[in-house]
Amino acid sequence: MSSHYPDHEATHAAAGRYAADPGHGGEGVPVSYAAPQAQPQAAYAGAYQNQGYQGHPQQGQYAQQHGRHSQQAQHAQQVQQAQHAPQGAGDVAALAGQFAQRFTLLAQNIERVIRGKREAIELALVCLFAEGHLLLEDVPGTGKTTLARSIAASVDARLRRIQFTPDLLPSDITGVSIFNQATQSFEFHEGPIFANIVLGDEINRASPKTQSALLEVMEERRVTVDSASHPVPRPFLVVATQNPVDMDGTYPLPEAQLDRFLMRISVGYPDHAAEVEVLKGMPTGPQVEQLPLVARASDIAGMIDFATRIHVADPIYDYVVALVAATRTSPEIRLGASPRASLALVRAAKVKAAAAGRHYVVPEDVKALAVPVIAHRLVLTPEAELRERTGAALVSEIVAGLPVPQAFAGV
Amino acid sequence: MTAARFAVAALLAGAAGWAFHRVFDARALVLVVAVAATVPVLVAALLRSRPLWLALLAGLPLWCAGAALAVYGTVAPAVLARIPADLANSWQALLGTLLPAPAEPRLLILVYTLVWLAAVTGAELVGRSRTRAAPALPAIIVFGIAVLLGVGGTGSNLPVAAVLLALTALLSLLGDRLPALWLAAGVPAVGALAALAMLAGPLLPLAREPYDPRADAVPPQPVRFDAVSPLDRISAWLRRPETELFTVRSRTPLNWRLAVLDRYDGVRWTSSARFVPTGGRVPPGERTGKAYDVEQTVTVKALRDRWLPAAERPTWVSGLTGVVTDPDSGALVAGAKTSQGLTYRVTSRIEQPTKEELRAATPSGDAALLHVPAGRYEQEFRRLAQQATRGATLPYRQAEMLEEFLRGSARYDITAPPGHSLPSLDFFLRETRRGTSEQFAATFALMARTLGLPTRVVVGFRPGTQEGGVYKVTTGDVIAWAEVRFAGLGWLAFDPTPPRSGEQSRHDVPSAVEKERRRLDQELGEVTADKPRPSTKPTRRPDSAPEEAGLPGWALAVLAVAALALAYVALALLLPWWRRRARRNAGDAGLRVAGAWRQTCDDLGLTGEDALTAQEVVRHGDETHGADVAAHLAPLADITNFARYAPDGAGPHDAEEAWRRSDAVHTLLRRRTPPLRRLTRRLHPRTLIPPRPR
Repeated sequence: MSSHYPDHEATHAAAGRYAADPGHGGEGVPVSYAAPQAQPQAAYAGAYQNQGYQGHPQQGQYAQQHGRHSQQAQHAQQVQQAQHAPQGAGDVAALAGQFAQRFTLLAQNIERVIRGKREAIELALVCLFAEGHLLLEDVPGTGKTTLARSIAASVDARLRRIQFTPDLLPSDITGVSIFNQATQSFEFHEGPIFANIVLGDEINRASPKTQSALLEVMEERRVTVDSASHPVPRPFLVVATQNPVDMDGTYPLPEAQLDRFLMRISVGYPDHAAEVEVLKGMPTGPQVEQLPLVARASDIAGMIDFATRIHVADPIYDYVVALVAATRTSPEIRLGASPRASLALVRAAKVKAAAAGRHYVVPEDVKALAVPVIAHRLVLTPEAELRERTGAALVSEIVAGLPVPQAFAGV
Repeated sequence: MTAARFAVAALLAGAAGWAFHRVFDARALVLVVAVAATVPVLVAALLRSRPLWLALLAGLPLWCAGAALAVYGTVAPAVLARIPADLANSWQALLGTLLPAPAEPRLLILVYTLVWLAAVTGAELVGRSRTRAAPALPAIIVFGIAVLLGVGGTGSNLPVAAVLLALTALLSLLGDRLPALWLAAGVPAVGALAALAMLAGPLLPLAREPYDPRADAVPPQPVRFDAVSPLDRISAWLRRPETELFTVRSRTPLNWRLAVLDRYDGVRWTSSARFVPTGGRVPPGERTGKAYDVEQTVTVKALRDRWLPAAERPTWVSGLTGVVTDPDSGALVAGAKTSQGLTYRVTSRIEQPTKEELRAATPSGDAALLHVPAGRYEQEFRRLAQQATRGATLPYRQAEMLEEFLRGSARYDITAPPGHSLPSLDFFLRETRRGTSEQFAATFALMARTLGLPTRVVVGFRPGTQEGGVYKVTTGDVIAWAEVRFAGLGWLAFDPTPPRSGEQSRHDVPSAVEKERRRLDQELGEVTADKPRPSTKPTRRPDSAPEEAGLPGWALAVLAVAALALAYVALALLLPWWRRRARRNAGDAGLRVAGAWRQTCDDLGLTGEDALTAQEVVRHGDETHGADVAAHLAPLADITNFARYAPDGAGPHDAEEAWRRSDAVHTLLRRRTPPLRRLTRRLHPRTLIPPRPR
């Protein structure tokens, strides 16, 4: 943005305070692709550790219940206190700049492989940092799998790929308990779901039973086999893909399941120039395997925690609720968005704000995320479907007509 | 809630239809308005989930059926075939009808259709749109049409307007949930506005003399229904004086007026009356002074004519259908020739001008009423008339002296040769000096016209013979007299016919008007012409007389409009300035930042574009006004977002910075907008709309 407005950059010295844009607003931490494990990551992680934001509130509560990770529980309380403490706002503002820098770095890294798809990449990263899951719906060959692999490669995360087929069983995903004759006990053998990033390819090809096993893990973030719980690692991102064209012999995901995905996006075909770029670099261009490591999985967890501390002003909550409520009253929508949708929207908006280097959410964040976060959760009326209306179009219309909260200056 | 809104839509259409009560008799309206207001609303309510075209299509046959039943009272195919033509002609017919209009289907069909349209439009707006008060608009338009058509009718539409207002308010309240602010401010504001309109409305120049579309309507062609002029029949009637033509039951003996003839072509007197249908009312004459009403019941015996006898100027006629009247003269004409036994009631207004009024009377009338065919006869009449009225200066006195002159200079003789062409009148005046009232009245009219007195000839009857409260009028009672028109007094009668020799006893009942006249004449005769004649051209003067008093109505209206326009311009120019100042000087820094942002949005022409985020406004500025504007907009947007959404809020420095950016944008935009465009934008009503809190 700022590169278009030199005057802004030149004269408004305090710009970093309002919107610490990654290009110029932050401290300018040097980053080296060649040495991904070097200084920046350490400094970044250190900053978060000093602030004590390793813990995650939800996980903390969970840990407290089970008598484990009690230290994290304390952190969780600190986080909650910090959210209500305005004096911490300055620190958060500074850290937001670093977050944005890291986010941009990640996006740029992935864009080396997925050309010209910056928007889809950023949305996928928002999903990662909002601890949501991503549903990629697109025709084959548009880079759905590559996107998931690139994210995994960039963050030093464990990636597992599950090809969904009609004969896939739930235990093929979650893992099984096998009786060990040596120890005379059952041992749990983790399934492919125990990874940081799980790529569920063609998820609609599996039977509903298998689908629901996956969706359960997505929601609960742990696998329960034989009354024993096995938590999945952090960060945990499920990237499921669907092919909207070839629907024969598939089990379309029911609405309740779709609701568990934070976003549904489509990568789409690259534009002309980007496709030329892809062709040019075909044999020798950047490969997923050669992508430099930008962040460690533990850094990602820190960033996830940080994103929850982004400030959301009351008018933004109003705006989100009004937006979601509008989907419930629209005459063309049979089933509107659930409260889970509004929660998801706020969570994603926080990450989006942090990614822009802001420590507060603005309506732009909500507006930009409304379609990917809400559209797939709507069930249209048969009449609207007959008219070939789509959820995305309806959400776009609602957003375009919904007044943005603005301060009333009195006159 | 929707059902209630539909009901209100029906009531609105019904109320609008009821406004026609000034045009038609109220009883005739009830069924027509009720059907037209309810049926389409029911159709719209039942078919509101169907497509609009289907609902409209379904309404069409119902409209036809309803029209046939409610308006025509039958569903005969011939009636159905008549409806379109009647509807097409109804507007013109209604404009050419005096109020109250007769309750004829060909006129009522207009009311029926207008109310139907209002109901359909209103109900479809209720069913298919989310607008709040718009469904009342069609009804209000129909109300406006009704008010316009009802100008001059009896009664008032003020209660109907109040009902419409209340129903419109109800419709708005029944809409979607209304913010409390609307209720708290809107309802009293509308009430105050209505009260102001009620108080101030009658003070407007237009209210005193409301625009009457009938004045501009193409008047119907003069009716030429009598092959023989009534004036020509006087001699024939007088030769057989015993035939009883009609009887009149009246408490006062009066001259019964039959026909009014105001055009003379040198051979015959004819009528230029433009008759319009009436439901009974006859518009009042010019004078509004002292007068009394006389009711008469006329029963026709042997009279075979379309002219209807009535005393003086009728105000109301009943018991007849298809009556037409000439609004200028008040003459009544039946739809068909009268036949034996026909009875009707007439109320007439008998003017009683005072002595002062008669002394101050000035002639008034158009050139046609002064027309005398030029030639030697005209000069001769003028010479005689001037000779007869020598010494008289008051126009009324002139007419009187002329009347006396004719009475004294010739003799009444029913055997005198008939005719009233110029040569026969000249022959009557100079040679025979014998004639019937035909010659006396015609001669008086021509001589008066040469003196500049607008004159016409009236054919009528003397009061007749009284028998038990009923006046029997026979052919022998026929008489013609002349009338002169005076400004503010209307037509005053002059009877130049001398008393009938030997027959005086038969007419022992002198007309009440005549008696009154004689009394006034005596009083006036005593007063010598002490005042100079106002003007040598008396006919010109009265036209300009009323306009001299104060400013004319149109000038006042123009002045008022100009004042309003000036006030608007001042407000439109001052309000933005005041708003900007108030925004800049708001107490809180956050408010000042918000004010700067709003000001910039207004400058960019984005007032009311609520759904745009700050960055979208920046993008819009970049695309529409260029990068230099956007260069200031972008930081301003950042500050605004920061002030509004960041936890730490804005400080005074931020407010200053925001206003610096806002001013920069303002200057840039001002520099690149042409002055004319800037002015038109400033004057747009949008600038007056206060911003809404969000």
